[in-house]
Amino acid sequence: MEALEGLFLGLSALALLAGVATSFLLAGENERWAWVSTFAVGISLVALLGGLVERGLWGGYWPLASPYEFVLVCVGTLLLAYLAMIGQSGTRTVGAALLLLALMVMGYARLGIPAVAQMVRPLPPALDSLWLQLHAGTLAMAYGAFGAAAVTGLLYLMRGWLSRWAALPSGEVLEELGQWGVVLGFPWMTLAMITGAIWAQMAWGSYWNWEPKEILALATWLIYLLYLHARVVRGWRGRPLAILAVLGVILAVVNYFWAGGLARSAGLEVLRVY
Amino acid sequence: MVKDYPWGDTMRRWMGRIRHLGRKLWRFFGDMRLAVILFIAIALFSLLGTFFPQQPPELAADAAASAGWWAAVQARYGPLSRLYAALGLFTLHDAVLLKFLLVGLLLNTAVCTANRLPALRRALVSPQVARPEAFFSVLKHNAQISVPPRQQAVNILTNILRRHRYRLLWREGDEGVALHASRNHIGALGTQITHWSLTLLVVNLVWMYPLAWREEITLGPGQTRALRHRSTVQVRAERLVIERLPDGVPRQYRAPVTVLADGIATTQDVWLNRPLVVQGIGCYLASYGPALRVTATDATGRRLQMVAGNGSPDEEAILLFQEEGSYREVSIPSSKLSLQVSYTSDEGSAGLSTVSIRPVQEGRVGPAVSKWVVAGEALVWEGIALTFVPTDYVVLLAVYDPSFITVISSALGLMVGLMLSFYLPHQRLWARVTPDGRLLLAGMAEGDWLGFDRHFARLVAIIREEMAHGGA
Repeated sequence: MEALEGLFLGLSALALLAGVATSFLLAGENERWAWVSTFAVGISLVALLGGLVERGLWGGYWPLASPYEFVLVCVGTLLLAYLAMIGQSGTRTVGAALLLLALMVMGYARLGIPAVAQMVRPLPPALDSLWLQLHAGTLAMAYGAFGAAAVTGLLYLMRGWLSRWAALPSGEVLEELGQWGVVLGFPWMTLAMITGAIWAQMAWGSYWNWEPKEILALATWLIYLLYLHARVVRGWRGRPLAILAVLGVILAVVNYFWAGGLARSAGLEVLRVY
Repeated sequence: MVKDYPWGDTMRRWMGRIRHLGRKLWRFFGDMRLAVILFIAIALFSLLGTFFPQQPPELAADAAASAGWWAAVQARYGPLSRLYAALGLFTLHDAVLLKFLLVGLLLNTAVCTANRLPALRRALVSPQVARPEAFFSVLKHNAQISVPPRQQAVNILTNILRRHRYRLLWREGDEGVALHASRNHIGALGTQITHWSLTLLVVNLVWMYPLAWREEITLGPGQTRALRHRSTVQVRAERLVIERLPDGVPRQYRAPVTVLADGIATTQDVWLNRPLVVQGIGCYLASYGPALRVTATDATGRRLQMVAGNGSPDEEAILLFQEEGSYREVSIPSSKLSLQVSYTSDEGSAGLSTVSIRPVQEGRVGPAVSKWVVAGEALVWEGIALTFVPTDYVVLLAVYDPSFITVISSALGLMVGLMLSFYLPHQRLWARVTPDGRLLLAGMAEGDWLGFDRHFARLVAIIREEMAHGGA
């Protein structure tokens, strides 16, 4: 079973690598190669899905419980965001940058997370909850869309420098794509906050505990709320919005990697580190 | 004839001042900047509270628990503890200032909501259809198109806008035919839903959350305790069951728990993520620890009453240990015997334990005697047969939090309101077909929504094309 899962995930990684290579080296100038790149991403997504399904069947639970599984699902949502973005705008350059991000996340999952933590293990009692699965699933969807927004935000901020090497879309197109990502991710993030609160209530009898992880998640949500509010009500455009889109993802990454350690080193009250 | 009282001027002056003050207050609380300042202040306040342990409100009613909590704080912060306590850093989430800020936010939201109602009513119920010509050039999205004869132009425009799901209102006058078109009406309610949800959330945090309480109940197998916060509710737990995987790793902890409330017993297996909820009180499995069931019989085989710690006499004493190897006291009043007992279970030999007993006489503890006993086998001590059965106790967390449902509901309401505002913005168009064969068109969406640019441009292109071809 583990071999089959490894096969699926290996195929997914290879197809993704091919997708990145073709989109960077060839797709920009050749429409046929552009479709090869998209096809490779499609294969990568299907193989990733196969690996996750295999993992879920083997473990007997939705593969969203461990950090490894969560990161893999985030790769899937980044690829989904890529395909949706291609459908939305047909902009290959931004898509190529998004694929690079997906490849980096996939690389972290396969090489950065210790092999022991990658193994399928029975679900610990505390994580055996439908609300956790819903929380992690909705959060992964949000992170995929926000990843797309952050990539376009970064390209927007660096477009003067990057335009020496690549033909980037106009600032307006980048801005629109960034907004598209935030608009897509915000409802998922909101649902993730709500399902997370319900899970905490079911597990610990307290829907909000003022923990660093919760506070950082709230801060991330507020950043995107500010983004939408500033855009819609105040008419903000361009650079400040791009900065907010990147800042949101930085906060999400800090939350994933360092919230627990940060809390411990600062001597904060921590109920749980997950 | 109106009679003029001598105090009339003073009265009028005072009434004028009160009205002026009222208007100033209304403007102050209706200011969006106030909302931003209050949000930031509340966020900073809450953030500060995460850096210091916050004293649980329920400790106020429990002197022993409060003393324990304070001792832990002193151990952590040393001499600074008193200073921090004086500054209120351990009670930030219950501080009057925080409640003051929350009430300010509540007022701000209420005034902002009220301020928006007349405009909302106008937009949804009685929109202004006919607009002066200057209005069409003021709006950001506007266009001017040459059109065929008036009735034909009106028909073409009606068809196009109806295809795009616009609701239309026409007015005919000397200056031509005026039109108001709008769609996504539900989007106009987004802000109202958001504001009301936020109000509900703040009301919860100010008034409902302080009603919440939580308490830990430690129960040996078969023991029953009444809740401190709700003495009419009793909780009983049976023995904890630990389901293990083949490699010995725990797969699930579960304890059958019964809650007796108003004469009705409700029983359920409680495990992590699955509390038993009765009358809004949730019983959560928090932890567990080692326990020992002890019975005593005299030489004639008669069961003797025993007292565990400061408990009440019973035919069976259940000793709850912090950890294996620690001592707990048990006494047999009829024999004037007092003992301290500890045990360590023998891993791999189910039911076998090493029991250590220390006699206590007039407050002095004697030397320990350790014996290896089989569960249930008698150990004779000064003519009394003692039996020991190792078991586990459970620690349940009883939680009452009336704010949960409303907080989640208001969070969902917030989400729905925001989604409506952001994703289904109320879009409005004004048009006028002038007698000289022009169509003036202008549009706006709630907020400056990027998508409306494209929508308006597409609409103008379609209208231009169909007008040019006479609607064909």
